[in-house]
Amino acid sequence: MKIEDRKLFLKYALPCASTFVTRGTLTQEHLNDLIRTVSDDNLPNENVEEMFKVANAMCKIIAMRMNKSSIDSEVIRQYFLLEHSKVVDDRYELMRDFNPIDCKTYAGIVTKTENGHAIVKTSRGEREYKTLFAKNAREKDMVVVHFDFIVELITEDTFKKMQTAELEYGKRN
Amino acid sequence: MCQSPVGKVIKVNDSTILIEHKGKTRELDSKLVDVKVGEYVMFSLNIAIDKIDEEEAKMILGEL
Repeated sequence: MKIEDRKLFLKYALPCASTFVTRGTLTQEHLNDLIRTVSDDNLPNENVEEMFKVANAMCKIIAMRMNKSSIDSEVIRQYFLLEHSKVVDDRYELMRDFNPIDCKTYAGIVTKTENGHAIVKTSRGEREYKTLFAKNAREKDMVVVHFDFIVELITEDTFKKMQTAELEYGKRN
Repeated sequence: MCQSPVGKVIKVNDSTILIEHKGKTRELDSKLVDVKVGEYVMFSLNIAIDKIDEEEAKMILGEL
């Protein structure tokens, strides 16, 4: 993965690393360091991506499907924005040891920002999210959220694609 | 999420494997892993994503 793609992957993946802390495979201090590093637009020295086995493998599969030789931003967004929910729900059906609602990504609109946080309206309702990974988020921006984080700003086209995918996925399940 | 379910390989075909997970079988795409019968894999949807050792697998399965 190229440097910018690694940063994007970690912005999407790190919000759910709190589950590693809960399971005792990562300390909160280490997670805080990783989040701080990525929010400062740097990369950790270690290969943290390997920790996210599911996301890494699913991105590899999507890259193969797209005839790409490596994981890039298009692959990462295809997985986290459009294919992540079915992975979450399948795992939940088998293991039922986490909250699948928190774990999914959602498209939303920023309604308010203040001191490192923003209120974002998604299909789940209005909630507060951290803006560490999207410090430029402003009121009325369209964003994608994962756990307690705004991951990045998205275009209106991507926002509509996510909403459509969410509706269609909801109808099927 | 992030930690995927685990199954024991019970049959290996050309590009798929059959695994057993908590008493149920599931056919998985095996293009990302190279495994033999009796080994354990982590999987997501219908894709085997990584081979893991028996001890770790049994811990995840709650058998240790």
